Amino acid sequence: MSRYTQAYDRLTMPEDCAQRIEKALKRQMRQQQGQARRQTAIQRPEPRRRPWAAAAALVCLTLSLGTAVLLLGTRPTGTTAPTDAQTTGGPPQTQATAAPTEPADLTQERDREKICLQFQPTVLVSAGDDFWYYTPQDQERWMAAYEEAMAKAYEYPAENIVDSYSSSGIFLRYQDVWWELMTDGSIYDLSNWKIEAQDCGLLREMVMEAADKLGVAEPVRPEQIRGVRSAALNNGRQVTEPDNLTKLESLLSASTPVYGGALVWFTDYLTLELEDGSTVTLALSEEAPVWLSEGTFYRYGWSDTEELYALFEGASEEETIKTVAESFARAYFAGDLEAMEPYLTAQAPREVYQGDGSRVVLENVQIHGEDLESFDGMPVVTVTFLEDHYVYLTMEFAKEEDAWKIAFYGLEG
Amino acid sequence: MDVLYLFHRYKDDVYRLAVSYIHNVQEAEDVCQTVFLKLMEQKHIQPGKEKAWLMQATVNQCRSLLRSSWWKRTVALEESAGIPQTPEDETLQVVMALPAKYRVVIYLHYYERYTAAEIGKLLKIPVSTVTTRLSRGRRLLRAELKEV
Repeated sequence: MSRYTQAYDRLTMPEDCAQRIEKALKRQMRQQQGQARRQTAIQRPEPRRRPWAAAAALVCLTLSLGTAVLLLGTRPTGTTAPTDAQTTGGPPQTQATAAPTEPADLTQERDREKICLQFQPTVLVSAGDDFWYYTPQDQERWMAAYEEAMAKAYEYPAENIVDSYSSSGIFLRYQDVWWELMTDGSIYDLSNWKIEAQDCGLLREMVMEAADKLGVAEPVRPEQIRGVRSAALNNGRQVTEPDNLTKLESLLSASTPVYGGALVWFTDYLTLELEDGSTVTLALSEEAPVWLSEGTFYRYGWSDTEELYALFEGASEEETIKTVAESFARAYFAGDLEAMEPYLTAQAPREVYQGDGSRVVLENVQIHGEDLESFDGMPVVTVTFLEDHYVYLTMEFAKEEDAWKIAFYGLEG
Repeated sequence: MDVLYLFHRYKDDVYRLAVSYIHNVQEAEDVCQTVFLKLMEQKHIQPGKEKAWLMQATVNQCRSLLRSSWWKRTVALEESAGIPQTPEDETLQVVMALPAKYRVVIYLHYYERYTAAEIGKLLKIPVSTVTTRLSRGRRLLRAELKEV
C-alpha cells in the first residue's frame, strides 16, 4: 500500500484555497475580538435583544397571510422513484403534483448572504441528487426570527450534545452556517450546537409554513402502505407470491417511528405499487430493519433484516452462498482438505490454512451482491476472522451443475 | 486554542479526508473552510484531541453534503473537477475512482492509521462493515493498480 500512501502524500490543500481559508479565519478572529471589545465596553453580558423585532414580525406575518400563496400543486399522497424526465433536471416532482407554478421558488444555487431553506432531496422525489434551495423574500422577518433563536443558543452549555439523530431533511442556511431541523422540534448546527424546540418555535414555524407552501413531499407513513400489489427492489429482486406481498405489507404498515435516528447506510430502494394506483418508494438498509422516507425513519423489526429480505426472490440463493462460505471457511481453518473438497470447483486451488486454526474466531460473513457486475456476475464472499489481527478469507463463487461452489479463495491480511 | 496553528498543521489532513469522502475538489475546499470556521466557534477542545475533532467534523460535514448522493454512481474522473491528471498521479486517479464507501475507509485505515474500531466510531458504522469495506476496497484497488 506504499504506492497508495505516496499518492495521498502528494494530495495537499491547494495554495489558493489555504490562503482563502486563512483570510476567512483571520476575518472571523477580528470580528470576534471586536465583538468582545464592544461587549466589554457597554457591559451588556446578556444576548442582544431587539424588543421591536417581535412587533415587526407580527406585522410582517399579518401582511404575508394576506398575500397570494405560491403553491406547487396538490399535496402528494405518496412518492415516486425518479423517472427519466425527472432526472433531466427541474424542481422536485411527485406522482400527484404538477410542475411548480413559479419554478424560481426553488433553485439549485443559493445566495450565501441571505437566509434560505435547503431541502434534502432523496431519490424518491427529486430530480437528480442535488439540494434545492428556497430563499424567502421577506428576509428581515426571517432574520429577526433567526437572531431570536441564535440568541437562545448562547444560553446553552458549551456543548449541547445531540445524542440522537433524527433529521427532517430540511436545513436552514445562512452564510456558512447550517442548521438542521430535527423531528423533535429542535435545530442542530452539525457541530454539537443544538437549540431546543421551545427556543426556536417561531423560526421553525416559519420554516414549516414555507415547506408546506412549497409542497415539499411528506414522508410516506406506515398507515399509507395498504393493498400492496407489487414490490420491487432496485436490484431487480421482486416479491411476486401473494402471501409474501401480504407479509411485506404487514411488516411495513406496522412499522414504528425511529426518533433516535438510524445511523446506517441505505443501499436499496423499494418501490411499492398500491391498489389505489399510487406508487411509493422507500429506502432500505441491509444493516438494520429500518426504512427511510423523506428524512423520516421507521423500524419494521428489532433484530435483523432477514424477515423482510427473505420475502424477495433470490434471497434463498444468498443464504445458500453464505452457508457454503461459512462451512468452507471452518473446514479451511481446521486444515481439513477432505471437508473442503465438496465446496470447490475442479479448477479451484487446494490449500489449507497454515496457522493455528484453533485460535481463529469467525467475525463476519459478508456477501457482496451489489458488486455482481464488477465481478462478472459471480458473488464474492468475504469471511472476516480474528487471530491476532483481522484477516480476511475471500471466496469467489461459481455455479456448477446448479450448485454454488468456490472457484477461487485466498487470504488477505 | 490557536486556530491558525491548527489550520496550518491539519489543513492537508482535513482536505484529504474531504476529497476522499466527496470526490469533488471544489466542495472539499468548502468543507475545509466550514470545518475550520466551526473550530473557531469551539470554546474548548481537549489538548491533543484537536485532530480527532477536526476529522469528526469533516466527516459530519461531508455526510451532510452526501446525504443526497447515496445512490449516486461514481463520478467519472473527468467530472471530478480538479483531481490532477498528471501521469504521476495515476495511482491517485485509481484510488479516487473507488466508490466513496471504500476509499474513505481505506484512506482512514492506511493513511491516517485508524483502527477498524476507530473508523467505525468516526463514521458511525459497525466494525464489521468497516472490515468488509476494507477488504473489498483493497481487492478493487489491487486489481486496478495492477493495470496502472
